Amino acid sequence: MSLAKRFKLTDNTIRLIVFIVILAVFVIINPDVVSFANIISFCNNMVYNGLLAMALMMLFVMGILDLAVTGYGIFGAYATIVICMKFFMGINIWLMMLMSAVIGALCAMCTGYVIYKFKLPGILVSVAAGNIFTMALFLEGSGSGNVPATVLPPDWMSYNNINLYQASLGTMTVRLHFSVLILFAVIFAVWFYTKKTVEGRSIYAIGGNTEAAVRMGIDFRKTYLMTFAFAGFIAGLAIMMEYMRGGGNVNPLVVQGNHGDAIAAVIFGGTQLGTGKGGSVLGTLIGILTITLIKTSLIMLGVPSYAQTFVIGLLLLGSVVLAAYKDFNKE
Amino acid sequence: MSEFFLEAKGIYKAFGGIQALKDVTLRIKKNESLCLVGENGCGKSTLIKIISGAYKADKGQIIIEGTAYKEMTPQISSQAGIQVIYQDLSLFPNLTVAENIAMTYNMSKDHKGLFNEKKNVEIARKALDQINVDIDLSEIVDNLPIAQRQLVAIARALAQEAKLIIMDEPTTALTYKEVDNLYKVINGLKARGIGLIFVSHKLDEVFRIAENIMVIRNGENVIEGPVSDFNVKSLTYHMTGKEPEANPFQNVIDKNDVIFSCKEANAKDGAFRNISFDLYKGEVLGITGLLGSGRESLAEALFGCYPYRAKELVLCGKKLKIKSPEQAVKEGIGYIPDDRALKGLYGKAPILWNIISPILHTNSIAGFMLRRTLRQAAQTESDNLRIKSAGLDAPASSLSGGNQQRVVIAKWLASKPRLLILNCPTVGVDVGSKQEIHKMAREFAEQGIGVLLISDDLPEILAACNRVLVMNHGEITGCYNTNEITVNKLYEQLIQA
Repeated sequence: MSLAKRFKLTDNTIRLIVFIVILAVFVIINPDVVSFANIISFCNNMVYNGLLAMALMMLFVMGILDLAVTGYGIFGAYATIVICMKFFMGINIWLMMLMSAVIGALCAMCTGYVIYKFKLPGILVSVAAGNIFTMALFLEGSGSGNVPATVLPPDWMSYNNINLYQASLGTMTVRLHFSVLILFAVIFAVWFYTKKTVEGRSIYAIGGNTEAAVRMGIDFRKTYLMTFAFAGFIAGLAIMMEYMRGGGNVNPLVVQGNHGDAIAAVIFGGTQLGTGKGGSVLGTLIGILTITLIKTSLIMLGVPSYAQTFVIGLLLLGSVVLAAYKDFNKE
Repeated sequence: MSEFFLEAKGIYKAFGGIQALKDVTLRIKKNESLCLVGENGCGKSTLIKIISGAYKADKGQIIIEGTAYKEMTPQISSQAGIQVIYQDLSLFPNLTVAENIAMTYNMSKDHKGLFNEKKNVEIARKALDQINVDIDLSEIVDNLPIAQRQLVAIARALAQEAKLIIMDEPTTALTYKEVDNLYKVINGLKARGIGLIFVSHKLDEVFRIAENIMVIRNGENVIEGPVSDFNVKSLTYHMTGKEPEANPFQNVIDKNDVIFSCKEANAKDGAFRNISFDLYKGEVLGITGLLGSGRESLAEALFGCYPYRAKELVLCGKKLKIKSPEQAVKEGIGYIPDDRALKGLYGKAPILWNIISPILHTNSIAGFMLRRTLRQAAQTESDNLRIKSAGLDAPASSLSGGNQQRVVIAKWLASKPRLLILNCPTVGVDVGSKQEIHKMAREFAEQGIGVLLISDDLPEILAACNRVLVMNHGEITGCYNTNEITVNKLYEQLIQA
């Protein structure tokens, strides 16, 4: 602690150092980790968890442990696909993404409204909501209980070929997918929302001291609805992109549970639950980088996937203990 | 227009069947500083909440600057210039100083467009300048010491263009020096023409700050007038409605039989230093001191909740080391905390569970509770302490303050302690129960339990204890037999800097 003070280390600097140390260790083991092709694939891999982490971060700051973001996204994406297959076969991917995002936002707003209206703990409502939204898919069509087999409107095929950059390296072609750009646009939007808008600042106030926020006359309904809508929008975007990447070959049940790494990124990024502390876009970004690094590089280093989860677990524990230790010292 | 800034006339308020306020009237001029004093539970806080709009009065009228309001809401009172600084300060710990101070501006209707950091800093700077305080505006409030947070709360009230600031026991968490600083700020406010209602039950504060004093007792106006009309004794009389007991009861002490002895205890953070004392069999030993004198820390330390080192602790001839409350309980130390609701009572749980919680492990076989034995034990303690309840299964929160405190005491008695530490045991307890609790403390002592009573309530110390140790700036500065000292003399000892 005193050491950190002497060098004026902010929490995010410490996180960045941890990231760099991990990177350095990996590079020493296998220099290929920072090869050009790997950096490109690293960026591509960052998108999905990055988007979800940004959505989650805002909700966590507000004191809501939301486990349904993937649910909003799945519902948004699948509803979009069903509607488009019936009515707008010729729809292009951009409209598809927008539609999914909007439906995702609506789902999230419903959840947020219930949490606001009945003053319920976010975790309870969102677990239920996540199940409802995911399982609603199985009610559609035949109701056979099978995983909804999905055929996407044909324009999806263009999705995987939109690259920002493309190059041939020997036998291999590296492609930087445009979704990276979407991630950065979302990161910017979240930064703008949480730093520059009154509602965005209000989420910190609500998360920090709910009682005082009530006394100050903060508009809870507006803040909740806007923040949930924004988070749902991002989730709808993320999952639609997953659907298109996989050509519809996506199992909603698997996707529903696919938020563990995003949650890990948010927590490693310093967001604390229930105190509204931490919760910065920069921290979350470092969290995303770190988690993605571990996920992608360990595969390369031949480490089995359970060991990856083990490492991520250690990192999370370290991060949480560090935060607790600091508060402990303060007392 | 009337000469008063605020008039609250003939206020009535009842909670359940209990009449909290009966025809209370409060008047304050612009630029006046009024101390609202009274014992805990006399209705001070209720009155404040009615003025601020948090509660609705059953009957009565509130007039602000000549305008009568039928219904008061927090918004109206805030717009009229009344700002309440609650004990918990209502700050946002995760936001910066500037954002906290300018929060109302950000939330106001005339704020349009994006969140404006520059404007926030400007507002905050202006407010802090008004009280001549310099705090880093970009610092997160959580990183500030409590005294500075208080100043931030005051600055925020000023930023909301306060004409009257109401402070609800603002000094509770401050050290002596910080309190001094706060007084300076408050005097500065007076000079700026801002009215002040200061809610307190600490007499030394009252005399330093107020121009006028208003006393409430049992929800009724008792007396009001300029501060020069009062002295500690008369104010105590008006607050309690009783002459301070002149001749305190003395238990018979066996000076050869030391129950508990503490030698050279030092808090790790220096909150108390070099504390040594012996507690004899049969006596109630009082420890008193002003806020920040270390008495609270000492009380918590002896129960293992506050880090400290002691050369030697002996309880009933056995050397002890107490590092945690678990150890303390095991060694037979019971602790009745000052904040009963937060630290001592499971409010929603039945009385039964409250009482038996410390004896669960001794009344179970292989982890299974002996329900009948436990219920009997609880019943016995409940009967002994004359707890008035609808039965053992009623939730503890349904009881009155005095009975709640008895439940806390019963809880510890059930575990048959050898040393009982009472930390301000009568806060928020009505006068009748207060005397009963004092009587109980002496009875425990007679039964051979060592009783340590820590309190800032001097009449209480004199009424319940045999001896009193006075703490000042973390050290014991005096020891008196309570039958040889008066409230006033004891008070003089306390405030010696």
